[in-house]
Amino acid sequence: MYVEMKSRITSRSEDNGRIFVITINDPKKLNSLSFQDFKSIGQLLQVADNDPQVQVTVLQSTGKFFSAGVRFEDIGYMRDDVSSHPERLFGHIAMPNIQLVAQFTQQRKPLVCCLNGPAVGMTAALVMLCDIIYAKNDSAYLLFPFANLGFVPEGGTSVTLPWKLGINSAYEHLVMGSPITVQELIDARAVSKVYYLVDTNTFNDKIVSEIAKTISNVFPESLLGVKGQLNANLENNLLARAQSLETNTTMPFWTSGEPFKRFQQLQEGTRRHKL
Amino acid sequence: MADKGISYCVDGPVSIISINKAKTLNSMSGDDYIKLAELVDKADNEPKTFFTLLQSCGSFFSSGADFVSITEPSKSNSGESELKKWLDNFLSRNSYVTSVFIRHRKILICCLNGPAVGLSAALCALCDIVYAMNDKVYLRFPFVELGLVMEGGTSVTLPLKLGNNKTMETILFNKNLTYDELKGTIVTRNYDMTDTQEFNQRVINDLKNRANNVYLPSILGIKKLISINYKDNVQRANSVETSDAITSWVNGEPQRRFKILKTKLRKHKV
Repeated sequence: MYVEMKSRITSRSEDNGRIFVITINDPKKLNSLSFQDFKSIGQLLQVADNDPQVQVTVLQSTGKFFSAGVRFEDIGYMRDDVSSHPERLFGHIAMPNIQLVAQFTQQRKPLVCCLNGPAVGMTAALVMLCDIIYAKNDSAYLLFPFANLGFVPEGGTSVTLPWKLGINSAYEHLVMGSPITVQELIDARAVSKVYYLVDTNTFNDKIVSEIAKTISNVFPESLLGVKGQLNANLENNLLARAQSLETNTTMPFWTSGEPFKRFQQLQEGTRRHKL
Repeated sequence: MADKGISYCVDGPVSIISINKAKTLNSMSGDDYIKLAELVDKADNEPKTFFTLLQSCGSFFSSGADFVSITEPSKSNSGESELKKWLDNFLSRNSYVTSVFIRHRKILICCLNGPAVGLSAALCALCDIVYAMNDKVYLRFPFVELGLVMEGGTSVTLPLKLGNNKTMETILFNKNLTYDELKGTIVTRNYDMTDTQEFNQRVINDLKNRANNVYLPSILGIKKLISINYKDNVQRANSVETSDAITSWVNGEPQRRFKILKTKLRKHKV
């Protein structure tokens, strides 16, 4: 039987090649992602970054959720892989925390996130790494259940959450596992605008056409120059350091097996995220 | 109820440090601040503790330094130099207490039942999470009025948590930081209650409930990863703040001004 593997992550060009759109496309599974999907996102970011035509990169999703996080099956594959090859654990942890975070932070093009709905875990961490966030409506939230799941902040969140939300808010949400609402994101000026739309495609298309209009008379090199200067700040240095710190701090937690146990409970329904 | 000073107990994963000096609006003597630091360190070394809760009583969290106690060393006539006297009685204490809070490895939670002033307010700003009992709480930093400079790491924590311009206006123009200004930055939750004991107990219950769902060692990982980004800077500031202030104490400026303030307050009561 021939089974076609459709990639959950697709890309396309808009505005005569000036806008590169990366889309998460599995709304039936709430856009939950495999580790390969995370890799694909990183690879596509690099494609955008290397393409001289591209001026702005946009990250979008589909349906009701931005992403429910990593797929349970993938945590299962990881657990099985690590139980027979313990030395592979580090690579599994390093891929999102070092490689993918670096691909986000090294993006020279402005990176826009179209937050159509909730984002959980590593996918929420990627939202926090974007330069500009627009929300479809106030149904969206960001959830970081690291402490519920038996490990520690990953994906740069030990820097991005205090930086973009405030230190005390970061502690509150990470310690209590509470969702970060669109209103909090607006108050913290992390989300620039809420569009109060219902349909995700409409929202996504609107953002792309607004960006196209905005960049129609900007000097492309200025976009790169400005982002480069704005990024030459303390927080990006801390983010570079956090890649190593988070990876090394989280490793013993994963080695202990506690996160695998708790993911399994989540999958079986014996553990729930309290929203 | 008699004032019990500052007490410590452990309740599951929570170490609770309680200020119990309602008669003086929980003002703190030099020894009280040292005791507070000792207890925060005790919680740091408590193996079963993951949260350290600072709680108070009555209508104020803490009205700050007890004027009489803080200026007491002025009266001593032992012949030692003014410099040595104030190094012993101001710099070493402020530096140590602030340092203990900065290097604390558990999640420090302040149950702000009411206003906090001076070094007490600075210690609140050093906490990781602050819950307000209601919207009547405020923080006050009367440094410029008292001939002092920044204390308790506030030269870093306030700009970090409130923003530069807000900090400048608050400190330079001696303004209170009201609930509205603390909301979303320093204060992350308003319990909207009026009874301090009930508020304190509610926070403890909420924390214990939370502890049931969370992998407690992860909590320490969160603190370690977030605090590493700023704590060196606060330690540096602590050192600069205390050594910058010593000249003022040697010249007697804060002592004079504490005395004026004390007289003002006495008149106000009458």
